[in-house]
Amino acid sequence: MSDDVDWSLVHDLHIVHVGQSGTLLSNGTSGDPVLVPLTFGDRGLVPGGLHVSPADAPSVRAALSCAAGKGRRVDLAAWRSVANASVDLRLPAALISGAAVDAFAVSLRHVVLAGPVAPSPAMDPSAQRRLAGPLAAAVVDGGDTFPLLAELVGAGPGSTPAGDDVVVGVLAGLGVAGSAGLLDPDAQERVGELRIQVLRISAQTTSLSRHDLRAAADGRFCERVHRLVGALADETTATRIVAQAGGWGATSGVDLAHGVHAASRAARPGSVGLARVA
Amino acid sequence: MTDQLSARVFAKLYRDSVTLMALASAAQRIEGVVQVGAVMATPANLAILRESAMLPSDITPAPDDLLIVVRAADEASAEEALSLVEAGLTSAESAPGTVTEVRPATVREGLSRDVGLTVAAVSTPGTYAPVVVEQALRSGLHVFCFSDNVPVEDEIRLKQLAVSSGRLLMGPDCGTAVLDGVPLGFANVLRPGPVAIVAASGTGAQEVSCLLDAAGIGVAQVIGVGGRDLTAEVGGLMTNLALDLVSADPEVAAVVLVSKPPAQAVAAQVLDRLASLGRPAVACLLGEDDTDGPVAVRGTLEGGAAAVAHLLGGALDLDEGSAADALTGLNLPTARGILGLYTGGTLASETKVILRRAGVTAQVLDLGDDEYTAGRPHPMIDPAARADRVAATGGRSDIGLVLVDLVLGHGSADDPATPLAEAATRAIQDARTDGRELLVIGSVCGTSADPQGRDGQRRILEDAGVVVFASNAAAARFAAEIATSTAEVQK
Repeated sequence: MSDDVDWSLVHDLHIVHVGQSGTLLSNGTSGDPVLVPLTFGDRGLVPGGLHVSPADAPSVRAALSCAAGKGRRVDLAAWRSVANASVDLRLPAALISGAAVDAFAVSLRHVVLAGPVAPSPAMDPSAQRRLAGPLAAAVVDGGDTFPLLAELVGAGPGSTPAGDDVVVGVLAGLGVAGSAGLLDPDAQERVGELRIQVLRISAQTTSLSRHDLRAAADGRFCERVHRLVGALADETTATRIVAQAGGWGATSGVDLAHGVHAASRAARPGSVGLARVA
Repeated sequence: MTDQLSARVFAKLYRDSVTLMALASAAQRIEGVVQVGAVMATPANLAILRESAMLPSDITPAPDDLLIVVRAADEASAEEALSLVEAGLTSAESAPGTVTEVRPATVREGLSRDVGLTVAAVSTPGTYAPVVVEQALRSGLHVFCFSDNVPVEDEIRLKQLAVSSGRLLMGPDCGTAVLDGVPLGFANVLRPGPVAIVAASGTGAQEVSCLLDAAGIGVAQVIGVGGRDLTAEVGGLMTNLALDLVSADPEVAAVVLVSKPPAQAVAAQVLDRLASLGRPAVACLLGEDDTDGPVAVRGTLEGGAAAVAHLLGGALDLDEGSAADALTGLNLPTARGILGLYTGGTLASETKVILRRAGVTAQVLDLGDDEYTAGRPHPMIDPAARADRVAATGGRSDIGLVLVDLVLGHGSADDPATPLAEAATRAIQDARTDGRELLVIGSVCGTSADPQGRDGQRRILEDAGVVVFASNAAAARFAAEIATSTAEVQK
């Protein structure tokens, strides 16, 4: 489980959505409800959520499907005693390798080329992906980030709109760049300002996406994002991990990868070679 | 507009993105349906829908609501599309857990989950590509194979399989295709029209199609066949099948084949095939002499595009005067050495052909070649490495002329002009600091509808002092003129 699960809220949850890789629970139907995501398999753990072991996943999924079909509420309080690990989803200090960033970029381009064709402009994430670079550059070099955020947050296809995934990816990439000593103090300060702006504007998107954005602003990211930022350190795994990201939802993995890559490029790891953790 | 715009709002409904994409695509295939959107009703998405005239005025959804909008030719088609999407959403609602995210591990698994698929795009590492390509072909799909490093023996075997089943195998190492208006790989946004392009060279196809686009002539299909298709080993297997397919297309009024010089025996066979197509054809075979037999043969991309335009009663818009005007009052560089720094391989080849025809010796590099891209992205994707080389020319006293290309479209960098412009500015300034003149000359391969926008990218280069021509060939001709001249430009 994520170490930020609020156990005081898990007694009376309703089921928002049951999917193959995850189930979304909520403590309310109006206002600003707290979400508790349950995830299965290689979806990995997400902030504020619990990951169900492969052995338990089939029975849990079946029980939740049954409960959802009958409109029943869910009480997860008993899970606290059996949850066997508490995970801090803050990004660890990491390396960024110029060669890995290049391999990441090549693989990302291949994944995009092999990706689905959007049936309409409103479902095409290209516009949001194109803003990843300008947003990261505005933070690193000093620029106005808020208009870019306003264009990104809530924009694009998916329950977590593509623009939100891009923002999460940029925050993750900048977080790693900061820990790798690639950002000067002014840029670090602007990362902090970006986090505040993200919190301020998060009401403009879906509840599910707001949950992710708030966690990212707090420095917490789902395990899939951890895998992506880990790929920035190792060119031998970058291609494989980015290729896997191509299968995370219709566009989400690729949108996250665009954000992560844009941030790493903006921090110019190529100019310093292999950066050591500060 | 007489189209019908209809919408349904599903309050507080989440669905997997793959499900939404699949439902929207399925609805869009209904006859009469123009466009379908299935998005969360956030303020940003409502603004996007409004900008594309896809937002009905009578709805006020909230960010957690799922909004389905359909534009169709008539009310019945719109209603059918909305019902189809709602049925898909409702079945997920009534049977939670039974509708799952689709993430096929194989081509066959993907096919089992959808209908109407016709093309598989393969971009796995070359080692694994033959297996995936064969699986796709045996599943009845055409294949666009972006992967390189596929052994030629596998290419021959797979193309024989493709031919036997009437399916296209575009590639391996195929960079460009536009099928029924759908771009695959590096491809420009082209106006629809009567020309079919069959190409064994990616940027060659892009240059020809963009020159035609600028002349107001659209393209029906661009079929890439892979750079080895016209070699003696492969024997034009896919070129012949592609020509069969385009010759059967009633919308195709002219055909152009684009390639580096084929093997001699293959060239003769392909020219015979072009001559018997039943419609006008041009063979654009880089470096060959221009001839006008049963099939017009042209040795440059620009020549090939011009010949096709002529066949259709049009003409290219090359406007060479305006770029030359930009030189008014400038001194020519003392050094006459030419360095070509190209991202497009076929554009580099065309430049070599033109300079050779003019008797000019030059160093022309294809920076997309494996020799320069080991461990790096292709320079059309990441322009930084080429920009560094351009910037460095300011310190070379033997170089007076730098030739460059700029390739736009899907797949290319979001803004390739800016790093090139910055590098050119630095090179020109460095040369002047050293008391020398340096000319950077180039062209933009793209259309006004490309994501990057041709005119804006061109302006960025011109503002940096790059002399920009309407075609790569025109830029190369101009460089050859300068290199062989001795006086100052006086216009």
